[in-house]
Amino acid sequence: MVRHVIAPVDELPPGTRKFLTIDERPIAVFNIKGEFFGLLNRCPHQGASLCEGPLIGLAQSSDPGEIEYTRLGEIIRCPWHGWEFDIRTGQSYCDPKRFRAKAYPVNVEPGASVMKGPYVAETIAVSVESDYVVVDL
Amino acid sequence: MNMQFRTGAEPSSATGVKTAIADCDIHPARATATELYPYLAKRWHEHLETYGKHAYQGMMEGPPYPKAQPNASRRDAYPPEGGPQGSSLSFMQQQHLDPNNVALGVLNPLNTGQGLRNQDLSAALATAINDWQIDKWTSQDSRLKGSVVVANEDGPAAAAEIRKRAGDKNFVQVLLLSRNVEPLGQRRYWPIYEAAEEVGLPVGVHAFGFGGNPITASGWPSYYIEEMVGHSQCQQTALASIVLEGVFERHPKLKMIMIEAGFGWAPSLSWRLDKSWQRLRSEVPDVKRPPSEYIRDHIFWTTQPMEDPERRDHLFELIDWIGWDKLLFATDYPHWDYDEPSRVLPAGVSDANREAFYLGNARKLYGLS
Amino acid sequence: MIPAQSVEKSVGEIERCAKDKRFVQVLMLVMGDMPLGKRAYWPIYAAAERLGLAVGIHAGSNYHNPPTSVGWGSYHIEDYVAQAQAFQTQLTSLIVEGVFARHPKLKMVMLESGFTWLPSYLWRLHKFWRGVRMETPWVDRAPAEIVRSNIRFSLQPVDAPPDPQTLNRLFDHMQSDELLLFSTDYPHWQFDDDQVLPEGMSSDLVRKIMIDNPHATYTRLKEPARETTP
Repeated sequence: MVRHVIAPVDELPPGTRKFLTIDERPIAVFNIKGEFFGLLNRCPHQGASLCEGPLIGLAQSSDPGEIEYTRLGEIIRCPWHGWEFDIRTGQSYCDPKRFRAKAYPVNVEPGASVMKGPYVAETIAVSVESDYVVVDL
Repeated sequence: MNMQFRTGAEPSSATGVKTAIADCDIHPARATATELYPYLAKRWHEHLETYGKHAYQGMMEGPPYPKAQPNASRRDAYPPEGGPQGSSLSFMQQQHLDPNNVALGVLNPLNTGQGLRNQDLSAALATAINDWQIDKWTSQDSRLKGSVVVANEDGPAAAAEIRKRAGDKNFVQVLLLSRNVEPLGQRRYWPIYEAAEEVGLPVGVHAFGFGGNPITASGWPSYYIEEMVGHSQCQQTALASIVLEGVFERHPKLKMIMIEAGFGWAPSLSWRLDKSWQRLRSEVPDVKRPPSEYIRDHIFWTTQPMEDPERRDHLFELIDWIGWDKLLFATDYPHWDYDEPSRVLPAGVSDANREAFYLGNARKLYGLS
Repeated sequence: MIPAQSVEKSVGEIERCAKDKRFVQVLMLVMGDMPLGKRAYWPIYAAAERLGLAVGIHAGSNYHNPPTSVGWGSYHIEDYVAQAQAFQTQLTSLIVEGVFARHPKLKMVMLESGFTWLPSYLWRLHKFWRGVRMETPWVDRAPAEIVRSNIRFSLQPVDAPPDPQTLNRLFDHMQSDELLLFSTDYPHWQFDDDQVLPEGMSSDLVRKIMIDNPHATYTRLKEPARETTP
């Protein structure tokens, strides 16, 4: 696993997402209320740019006609067929056993442990100002 | 290691299709409400602005059921210059036609004058849409071919529009929708079939339309999914009507295409029709052969939304029963239930069948080999 | 039989007749005033489930709506063929309205519906459901699973393909041997007096269709016919 530095934390405020390619893999990194998540930007269904879809909540029901809508902003809906994926795990809601979006662990690493540009994280002590968002690939 | 950033979301393009394909169901849209005005007499501008469009359904604008995605289209298909999905030729080329190697794209315009109660308006909008298809699309990109949109409830007017476009290479078929005031085999629609056969155009029957009938034979359902799945049942009934009213007996050269209603139902409908006809054929003496034979000889199906069983051997059996020479590949771009060409046909298909499925059948049917 | 145009009176009749164990199901028509999944009908399903009765949906229409989803055809043969499409839309309604989420023990039997259309119908429904699940989130498992647990189909008339091999492949497409219940449709014209069972069915499947599946669906069949002797 190689760790890749994405950006300084303040370049990815809550509610935003960043698209990038690492080793030809299209990835998006999200900041959901201060937590960071990474997903492969390719829907496991037919290959759409999954991460361009809206972030919605989870609709569940224990009785027909009643809907509980929770986990706002934590479900991504594919811009094509509308499949719902859990941003935390990549799990799909329609067919959890067969389909899962590829999730990448995303961490915030303190600036002291990463080197700025050429965007490969190495454990070198560098004095930097801010914290960095780092992806393990 | 190689990392590039994008400043924002870029239009997603396909993984790239290596061999050329036909897309037999593309939906071009108007960018603005007045884009058709140059093709419409001025009286219709005023009419539309004063009275609007009255369809055989309750809503003047908008659909009877809320859609799964905006404009029932992919969220990533908005042209960068603005306008709804499907309204920009250059963006359609960039996002779909070029990367997907579309060698033949058949345009099926929707939200036109079909399904309207004012038949003069319906006819005016039909001819306008046909002129618009030439101007904006088929004359600008030779891969694209249009469909002759007609006033579906006015047989003579529809026949006149078809004859007007006879021999025009911009068009490869006549377009009807599956839901009309009556089932499509009824005699009010016969002038359409007569004219189409005469000018040598097949008739495409696309899912949807408004005819004032609830989308089930037991009234109006509650949910969008019922409408979406219901297109399959509407198409089955429309096709049964066409066969049982003897349309193909009277028009032996006519071909028809069932568009966007699936094809999985074709075998079971054929078997049911045959079984009923064996007992009840004295009621319909004009149907001289088993219905399944008319279906076999005259009907094609576009593939989208592609049947998606868990086991691909089931899909292959289904297609064997219909015929690999009967399917016409389609994506339904830019709608949300779009079928990605590189993903929908599982591995295990012979090269010959694959070529027929993706391109050969369409080229042959539309006379574009 | 119930007067479906009055749900209240229907429930009353179900409760009245349920005491007689010779009744095994409630009978409704496939084409009525409203799609069968609509909540207005639910007291009927609740009563049936509570009293151990199946609900049978039989081909036929009360003609309050055109007998097809695209209007009025010309011929009896068209009306007859269209029954299959009516069953398809009713299945969609029953499933997505959540009838079986609310009444998980209820069994419904589609009578004279045909069944050879079932596999491709379920593939289409499943394909769309995966994308619009959130519109009806009480459908919390795949529609095909709901059909396998709660819905059954009478055997005849079989819209059979010309060869038995194809029919057997269709049974495989259905992915369940519990869906069919033996029937003859006697004395209707569609009745196949020379061939009540399609050719080529395995003896295991025949046993399921003729014995096991009906018993599992109509649990009252195992009970004594009368509670007291006359």
